[in-house]
Amino acid sequence: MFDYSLKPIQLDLLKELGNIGAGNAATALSSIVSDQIGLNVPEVSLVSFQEAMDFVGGEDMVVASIYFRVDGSLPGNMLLMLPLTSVKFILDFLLKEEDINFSKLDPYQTSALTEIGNILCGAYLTALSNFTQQNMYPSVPALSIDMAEAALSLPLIQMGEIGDKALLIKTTFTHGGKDVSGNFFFIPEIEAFEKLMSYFGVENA
Amino acid sequence: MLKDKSVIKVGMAELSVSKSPDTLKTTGLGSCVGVCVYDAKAKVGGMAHVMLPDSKSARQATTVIGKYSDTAINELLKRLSDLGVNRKNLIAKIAGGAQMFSFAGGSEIMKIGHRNIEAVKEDLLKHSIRLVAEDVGGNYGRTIEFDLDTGDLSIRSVDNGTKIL
Repeated sequence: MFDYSLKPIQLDLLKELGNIGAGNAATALSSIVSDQIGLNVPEVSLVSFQEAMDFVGGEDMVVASIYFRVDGSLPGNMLLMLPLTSVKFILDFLLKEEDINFSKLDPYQTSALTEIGNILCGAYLTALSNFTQQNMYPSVPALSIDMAEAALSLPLIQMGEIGDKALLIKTTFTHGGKDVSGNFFFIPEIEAFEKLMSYFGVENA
Repeated sequence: MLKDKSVIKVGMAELSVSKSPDTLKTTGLGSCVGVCVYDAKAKVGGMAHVMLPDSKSARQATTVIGKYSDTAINELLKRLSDLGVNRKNLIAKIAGGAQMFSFAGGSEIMKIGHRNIEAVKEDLLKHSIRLVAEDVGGNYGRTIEFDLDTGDLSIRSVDNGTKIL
């Protein structure tokens, strides 16, 4: 039963991994919007499904979620969540389009947004994969503009098939002018977590 | 004295029972299914936020009984009988089971919403609970509130507004 708590050293390691991955992604985003993107210290938690839901801010807030299934030797899920203000900024920046109907994005807008997701997720995973010497392959991206909790339910359900808790690594990024902000969620499977820990010699013995 | 009306929040993989004038609420149902059972005569009911179809497919024993359709519905019925509800009076309403993300091709896990709906319907049938209303499937999230005074289930989604079942 995967129900142990995280030791401080494991927590530190996961935070550092979150930092490395999200840092790389933030650098990629910085170069896309030609401005500095700031990162907050990652939050790492091994939580119940309801507590994981609370991580997205609760009360059915509407966000753009770009989801990736991650396969390879460190399997898991990645979710990039962008508030609608960020989506508006990014689409305006990339496509010079100010009028955006969020409930019905046109194919160009959808494609631009999923491509941003692709670049950021790719940057995140490349950093993680280089650091850990493990292979990680993201699926094609899938986009949903809907309640954050509803979007998070898919990766949580996948964790639910394995155990009663989910391991969440959440990193928040912000732009100085607050035009762009968002969250990266990396949700490694338990097996991936154990592999990582043994790789770094911090097994839960 | 009249009891104060309160809204009881049911979290993911959780369940709860109560009576009129309370309301049971769960937010952000995606592929999960919200199962509501109700006795109109006693004005007593319950709600479960089911994540997965079947506890027998679990890789290990679980202590989170609200997680699976079969264990959640069993527990709801048990708690309702403890409150003196006669199972014959119970009706059910369900909502959720969406496919939030679509991929070309699509893998099994993407269809989990559909599997959850099927499992919940089968389990209700197994217990001879009549399913009187449903709002399931689609590709969008739902927030639901179940009014134990009227038995109304209100379902809110981002693009489709609110409907009452």
